[in-house]
Amino acid sequence: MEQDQSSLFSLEADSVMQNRLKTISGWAKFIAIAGIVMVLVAGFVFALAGQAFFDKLVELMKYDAKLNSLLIGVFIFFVAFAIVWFYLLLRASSLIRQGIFTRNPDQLAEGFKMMKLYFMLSAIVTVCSLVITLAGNFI
Amino acid sequence: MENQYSNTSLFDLSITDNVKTQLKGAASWAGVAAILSLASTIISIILQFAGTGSSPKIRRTEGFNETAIQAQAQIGVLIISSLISLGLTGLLFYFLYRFASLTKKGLDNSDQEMVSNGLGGLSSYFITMGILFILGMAVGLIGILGVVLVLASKQ
Repeated sequence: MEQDQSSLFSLEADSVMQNRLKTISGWAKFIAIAGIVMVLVAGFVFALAGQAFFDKLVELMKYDAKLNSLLIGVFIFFVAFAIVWFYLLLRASSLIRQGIFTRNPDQLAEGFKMMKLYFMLSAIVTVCSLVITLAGNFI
Repeated sequence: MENQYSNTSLFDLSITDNVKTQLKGAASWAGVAAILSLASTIISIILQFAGTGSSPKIRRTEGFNETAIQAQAQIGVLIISSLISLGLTGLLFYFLYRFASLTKKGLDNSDQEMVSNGLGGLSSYFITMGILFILGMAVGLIGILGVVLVLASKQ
């Protein structure tokens, strides 16, 4: 029984590791909240000045005004995506913090799972931005 | 013995197999994100320089001196912004890649110190990101204030 426990719990998070996890959780929470606020403010400003902004864009870029609805759709998609992205980070930070304070490995594991999803979305965002940059240069 | 048990339960947190699996997954994806981010920045910088080389703004048509100065200023700004961008991305890449590699190695070898050092990398990554966020928000706020002041002075 003791051997089983030892193989299962052979690694312990000591005080140094826990402090690092607390730092990660604290800064991740700050970034997530600041990110969500910034995205919501950008969405609010856009909603207020949306029509005027698109009229100006049509004038400057000289494209068909019918494309505006597509651009609005893309913008809404990006706002929703960014909120989900930052929410995952917020959830990861709170689960890791709870896991440390309650000494609950399951919560800690759930926190790292959320962080994995956050980095997965980060990789997707990077690939998308690279594709957009390449398309902008070669199309 | 009892004291030792209470010490463990009070201060140490067990890293179970489930925690190990999820932490390893997070580290793997962090490594992928770090490599993609660095590659994306390098490609963007190369494209920017390639674009500037063929930019019509640098064409020497008329007003030779003025155009040459403009072109030099444009390239100067591009070099500085590229260096800053590359430096910051490089720093973030270093921290994230450190987290990815040390954590995975540490978990494979059940090496507590290595896992702790890996988490130190992730901690440095989030601190750097947080500071960049604060700087970005400050610059954004100054920009908004500037626009408001310019608009107010025009009225």
